[in-house]
Amino acid sequence: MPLTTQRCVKSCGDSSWLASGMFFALLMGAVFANFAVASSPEQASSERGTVGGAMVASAMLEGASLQTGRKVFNRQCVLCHGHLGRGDGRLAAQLTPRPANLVKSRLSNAELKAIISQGGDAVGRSSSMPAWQEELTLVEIDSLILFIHQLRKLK
Amino acid sequence: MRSKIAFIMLLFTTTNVWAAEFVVGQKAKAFTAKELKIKAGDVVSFPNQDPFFHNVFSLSPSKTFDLGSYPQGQTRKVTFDKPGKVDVECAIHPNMHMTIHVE
Repeated sequence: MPLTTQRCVKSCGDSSWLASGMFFALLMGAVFANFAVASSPEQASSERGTVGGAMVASAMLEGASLQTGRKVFNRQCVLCHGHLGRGDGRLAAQLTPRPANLVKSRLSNAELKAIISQGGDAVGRSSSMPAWQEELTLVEIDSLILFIHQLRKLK
Repeated sequence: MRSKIAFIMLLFTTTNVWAAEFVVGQKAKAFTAKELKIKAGDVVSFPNQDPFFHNVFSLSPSKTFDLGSYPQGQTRKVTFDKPGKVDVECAIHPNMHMTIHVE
């Protein structure tokens, strides 16, 4: 192990100027790319897979959109999660545990997809959360995830 | 003799022996009845006849309940103990509505 470390240090030392240059170039590229995507909040939210200029859903299906997500949310989720996703829908008081506060939730996209598709029971969470995979298309589920990311910005 | 009378009185106070049972299915994303008239104490059974889940609930002041999600072939029952108008919905299918009038 010490030999490997030494070799690495030597190698890195030799090309440190090159590494610094490449890092700077990548950083500047990222800054300009971000500026181009998120030049306005509305544009940022309407871009597929970007919310607030950050890539939150790089594996989203073609056709997934915030507009579709909002429509699905208002039709299927508001009853329990409430209009702003705070877990205070009109059915919430009847449920134990209470529906998740989606504004505070920090589940990953994969976790969101699993719980929305398979329901709470299947992933060890509330059995009150239905499995939506028979009601929603894959594009609608991805759109919903985009919309949940939008809700998280409300906190 | 006294214990027999006590048992019969208990039976009358804890169960409504004249209560009728009604059935309102969930089929093709709709309730099989749009309106239903029952008497206080009657029971309504909600069998799921669709090949997917339903979640029957009501938030009406005279009767609030949530039967949870359940699949085809399962049924859940509700006793309507107070008179009033009860709007019944499905949490999974927002277009499903029916009304029970409890007299």
